[in-house]
Amino acid sequence: MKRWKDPFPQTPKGFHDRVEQTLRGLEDRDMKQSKRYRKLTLALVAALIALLAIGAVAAVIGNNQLKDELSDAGAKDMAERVQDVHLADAGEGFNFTIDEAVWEGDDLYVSYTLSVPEDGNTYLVGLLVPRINGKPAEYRVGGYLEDGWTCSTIALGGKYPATDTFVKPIIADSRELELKDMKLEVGAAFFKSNRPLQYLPGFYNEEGDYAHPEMLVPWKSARFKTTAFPDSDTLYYWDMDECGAPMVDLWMFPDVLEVLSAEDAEEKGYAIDMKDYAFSDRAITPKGLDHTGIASLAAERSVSLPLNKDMVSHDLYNGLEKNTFRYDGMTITIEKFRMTHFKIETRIWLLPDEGMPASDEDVDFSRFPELLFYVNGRELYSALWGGTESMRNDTRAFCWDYTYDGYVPLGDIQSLQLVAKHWDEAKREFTDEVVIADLTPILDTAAAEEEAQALATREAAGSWQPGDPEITVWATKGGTYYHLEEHCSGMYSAVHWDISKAVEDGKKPCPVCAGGKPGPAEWEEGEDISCFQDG
Amino acid sequence: MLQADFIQRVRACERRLYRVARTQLPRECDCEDAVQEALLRAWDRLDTLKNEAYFETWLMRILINQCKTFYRRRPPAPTELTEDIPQPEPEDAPLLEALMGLPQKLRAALELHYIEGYSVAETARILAVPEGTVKWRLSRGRALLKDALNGKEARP
Repeated sequence: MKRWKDPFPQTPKGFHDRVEQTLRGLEDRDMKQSKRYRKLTLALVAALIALLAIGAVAAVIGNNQLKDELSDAGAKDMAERVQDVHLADAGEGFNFTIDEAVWEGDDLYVSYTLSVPEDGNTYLVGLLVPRINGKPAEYRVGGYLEDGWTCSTIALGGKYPATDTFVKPIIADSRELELKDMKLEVGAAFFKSNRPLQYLPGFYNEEGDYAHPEMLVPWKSARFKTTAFPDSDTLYYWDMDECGAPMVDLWMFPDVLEVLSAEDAEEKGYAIDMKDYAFSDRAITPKGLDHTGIASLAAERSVSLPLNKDMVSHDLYNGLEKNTFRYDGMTITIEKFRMTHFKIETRIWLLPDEGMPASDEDVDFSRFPELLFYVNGRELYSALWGGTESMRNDTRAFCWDYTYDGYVPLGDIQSLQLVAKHWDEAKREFTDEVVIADLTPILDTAAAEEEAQALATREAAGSWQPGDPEITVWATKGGTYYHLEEHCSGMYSAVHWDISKAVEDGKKPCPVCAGGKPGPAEWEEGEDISCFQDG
Repeated sequence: MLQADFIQRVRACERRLYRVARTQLPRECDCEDAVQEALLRAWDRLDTLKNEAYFETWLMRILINQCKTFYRRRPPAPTELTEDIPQPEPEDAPLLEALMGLPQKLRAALELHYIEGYSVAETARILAVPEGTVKWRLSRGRALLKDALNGKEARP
């Protein structure tokens, strides 16, 4: 990159003086505070020593990143719901701590801390796929070690930071969550890197395409007209997190590909079948990564979060009062719009006035814009999943099925805009952003409130005790359960009952519609339910 | 980081602080206030800087956030310099004028990348936006700047 000549005038004297004045002021201020800090430091040291003795250091050095990020985004109501968890599994210098957790709908966000020994070695650390009640959780966000697609690790130790903090969404199955409390296991694997790390920035190739090292693997390099990466014995990375730790994606390394493509990888425990859980077909395991020789497994650390459904927030907007708009010779219909504090899930159909071509091959994809959402002027980022490639065969409309990530201040939405931009292939750049619709005035607050009310009723019905306010429920005379839905699970001939009468009659809340818990027969054999007592 | 190191490193990037602030805020007085607030905030939150190698990008991000706060509080109004405050002569007045005429988002990206020399990744980190957004802003900014310098109307 050629830097431009500095076009600015000389630094004005007033600016220089203010910088100097401020720096001098720091010295004065620091002296005044030094006594207070000394006392505080002594107190903290004492506390730390005491905690060291009981092996719970991580419990107090946890971060508040999640709370801070939510507050910074204006979602203070959600920030207040964040729970300080501070569950740690630490030993021999390897530490994994869940610091905070907050649920909303089917999203669990956690902030966590990773630490490695300060012994001069560089460690690659990868998150293990979270497990719910012992089974891999269905998740939609990549970035786990056992993820064959990205095989993401973070490098810590050596010349990089030995401790790092993160915020990450962990996606669970909401239906399961609503039915019962559960145990979530999250953890990390720590590997001693056997290869040097080197920064290899992205670049523009001869054709003006932006290339990352991931495009330098032999089978991709031809397409991007670049040479394969120079030394396969080096771990290249092209980005670092805010703490300065390199983010090393291993999926493109030949050794990893070799393990993942081996027919017997699953038999040997080097890979697991992920088709039922995520978008990857096969994921590498810690044992598999160790087998590649890239890095040696040094430790695994994990913690279990006993999760209570009462922790779940269900604040959301579900729908818009108006959902059809016109833009650039096409009709845009928002079929699905679900907004929580953390994301907007959408399914949007775009139908050109001239209709869609009969064949997918004839579709001119440049005809369709990229769609963005801005909340209070802040862009939400479209996530990796969803896709523009799917089309609905019956209507031959173009489908934009995306989820947008970001912090949404649900309690204080000043503006919500649907915005379009097009990719201009000739100029190789996006066009200006155009606001398709200002959705602010048409947010269906009534529907949101109705849904919140329904959830509250469901929770009240599920935990109803004599003396609680009366609720009208549906039940059949000889039925086991009382319901909130008249035709729950195909039920017919149900009639209205007062909940007090239904409980008196021995009926229990329906696990499907009335917030009840499944009976023991519905729990898996051998499952320890005693750990689900408390959030 | 010791206070002496902090002071030394701030002094080393004073020029850069000025340019970044000036790109964000058209009034010199606001730039001074913003840098003061940013330095105080940076010192108070020094514990959030995990790696000293990133001191500058971290500080620039704080400064830009501070400038945004100032911008929201006091939207820029055209001001004329009085005769008793001599205006320093810019090194490249046409470029500066064209740059300052760009939308703020594009201006910031261009300034950080092409004048301060930050990489796309660093610029993205400072502006707290994805790298793709930075690349788009650079591309769009270059096009608009080129038009402005050639005396053309901005392309739609």
